[in-house]
Amino acid sequence: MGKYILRRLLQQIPIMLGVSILVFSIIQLAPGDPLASYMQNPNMTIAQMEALKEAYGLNASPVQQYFSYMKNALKGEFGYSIQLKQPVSKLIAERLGATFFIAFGSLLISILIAIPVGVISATKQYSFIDYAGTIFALAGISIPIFFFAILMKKWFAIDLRWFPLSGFVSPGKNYVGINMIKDILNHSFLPLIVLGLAGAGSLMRYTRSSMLEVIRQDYVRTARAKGLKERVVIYKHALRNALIPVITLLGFTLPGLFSGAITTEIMFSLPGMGRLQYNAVLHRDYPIMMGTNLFLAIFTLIGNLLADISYAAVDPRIRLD
Amino acid sequence: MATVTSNNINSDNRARSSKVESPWKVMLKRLRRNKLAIVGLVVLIIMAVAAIFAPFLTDFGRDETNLARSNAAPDAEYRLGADSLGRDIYTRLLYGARISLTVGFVATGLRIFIGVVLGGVAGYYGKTVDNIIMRIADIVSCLPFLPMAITFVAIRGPSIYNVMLVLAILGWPGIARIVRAEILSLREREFMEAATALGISDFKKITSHLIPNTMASIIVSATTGIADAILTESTLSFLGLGVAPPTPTWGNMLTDANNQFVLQHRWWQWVPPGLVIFIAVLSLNLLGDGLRDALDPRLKQ
Repeated sequence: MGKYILRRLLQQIPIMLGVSILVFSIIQLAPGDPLASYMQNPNMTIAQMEALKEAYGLNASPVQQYFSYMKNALKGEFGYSIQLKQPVSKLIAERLGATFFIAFGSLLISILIAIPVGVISATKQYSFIDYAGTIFALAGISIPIFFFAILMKKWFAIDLRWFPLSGFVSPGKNYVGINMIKDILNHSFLPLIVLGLAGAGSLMRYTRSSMLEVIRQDYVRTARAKGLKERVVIYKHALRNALIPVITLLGFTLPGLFSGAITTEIMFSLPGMGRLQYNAVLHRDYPIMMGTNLFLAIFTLIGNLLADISYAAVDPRIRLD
Repeated sequence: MATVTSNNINSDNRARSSKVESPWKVMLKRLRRNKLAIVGLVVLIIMAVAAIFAPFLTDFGRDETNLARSNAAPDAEYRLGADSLGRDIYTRLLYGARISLTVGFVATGLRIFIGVVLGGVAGYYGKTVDNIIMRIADIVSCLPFLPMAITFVAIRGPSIYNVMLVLAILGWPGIARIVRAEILSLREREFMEAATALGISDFKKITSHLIPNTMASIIVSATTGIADAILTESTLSFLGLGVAPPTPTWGNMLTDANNQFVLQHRWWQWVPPGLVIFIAVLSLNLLGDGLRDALDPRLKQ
C-alpha cells in the first residue's frame, strides 16, 4: 500500500508542473500592463516605473519569469498582490479557513443527505421516497447555484429574517469562543445549505445506481437465503460494496467543491479564496489569479490522490496495476 | 452494438440488414417509452423554436426601452413586466434563449470535436501518442473549472466566443477519455480486422468505423454537457464575465437580483430568467438520463 501511495504521489509531480505551466501561460496572455494602476499616478517618473517593473520581475522573458516564479513558489512565496500590496501567500492563507469550512461543511451535509436517501431509494425502488429523491436530485443538479442562493437569501434572509444576508461574522462585534462559533454558524448556514443541497443531487443518484447494481448480486441473494435480517443484508453486505464507487466520486467532487464554492462565496460575501480570486479578476491582479488557480489545482490533485488511495484501500485489486 | 453502420456497405447488404434493427432504432424505441425524457425533449424543442422565431413572438424590439414604463409589473402590455430601463422581460427572455442555447450547443460541439479527435487518435495509435495526449488530458482536468473559466474570460475579455472557447478547452478531456476507452475495445473487434484486410486507410478506419460506434455514448455525455455549458454561461454572465449587456442572456438578466430592493419587491425581474435556466437545464438532464437508460438498459429494470 505504501508503495502504491508513493507511486501515485510521484505521478502527480509532472501533472503539477504541467498545470503550473498552463496557468502561467494563460495569465501571460493577458493584454495590458499589470502596473497600469501605477501609471495613472502623475507623480510617477519613468525611472520609478522601471524600478517597479524590475521589482516585479516584468523585464525578464516569460520563460525566466516562470522559473523564478516556481523557484519562489517552492519556498512558499507566490509574489505580491498588485492591488492589495500584500504577499499572495498571506492573502490566500487568510482565506483558506472560510473556504475549507464552507467546502467541507457542505460536503458533510451532502453526504448526510445523499447516502441515506440514495440507499432507501434503491432498496424501495419506485416507492414515493424513490420518486421524491430522484426529482430532488435532478433539481439539485439542474439549478444554477447562484439562482438557488438568490432564492434562499430572498426567503430566509429577507422575508423571514432568520439568517443574515451576507458576510461571515457580524461586523464590529468581536465575538470570542462559543459566541464566535454561533455567529459563524448563523452566517454560514445559508451558504452551507445551498452548496450542500446542490451537491447532494449527484451523490444521491450515484449512491442509488451503485446500490441498485449491488443488491442484484448473487452474494446479496446468498445473504438473504441464509436467513440474515434485511437490515444486515442491506447495511452490512450491500452498502459496503456500493460505497466503493461512491468514495471515488467523493474524491473527484472535492475540487469541484472548492471551485463551486466560488459562486457561493461571491453570493454571500464570504472571505474565501473564491471571492479573493473574483476580486483579483475584476482588478486584473495577476499574481493573485496565478496563486489561487495554482492552489485550487493542488487541491484538485490532492482530491484525485485521496480518491485513488481510498479506492485502493477498499478494493485491493486496484493496487496491482 | 457491433453492427457497422457505415456507408461503404453495398445496397444489397443494406437490404438484408434492414431486418436487423440498428442500435439507433433500438435506442429511439426505448427512449420513446421514457415519458420524462420525452417531456424534456419537447420543452427543449419549444425553447429552440421560440429562440429562432423570437421576432415573431413579440411586439417589442430586443433592446427597446420605454423609460415611462420602467420597472412595470406584468400586465397586458408587458407580459412578464419590464426591467429598470423599461425593456420587456418576456422579449429579452426570448432573445436570451438564442444566446444561452447557442453557447450551450456550440461550446459542446466544439468540445466534442476536440475530444473526439484527440481521444480517437490516442485510442487508435496508442503508445507514445496516447501517452502524451492522455497526460495533457490529466493536466487540463486538474485545472479548477470555474476559477479557470473566470480567469480565461477576464483575460481574453467577456464575450460569447470566449465563453464557448473556454468551455471547450476545459471540457474536452472527459469526452476524449470516453472515446479513447471505446476505441481501445473496438480496435480488437473482427470488423476492424476486416477493415485492415480490405486495406482501408487509418483516417477512414477512424472516421467511418470507429467514431460512429462511439457516437451513442458521446451523445449521452453531450446532452448533459450542454446542460453544464448553459449553467456555466449563465454563471459567468451573471458575474459580469460572460456575455456583456445590452445583449440579453438568461444569466446577465439575473444581475438585477443583486439589488436587495429588486429581490424584495420586483420578482418579475429575476424569477423568470432563473426559472428558464432551471427548466432548460432540467430538460437536458432528463433527456440525457433517458438517452443513457435507452443505451444501457441494464441500469434500468
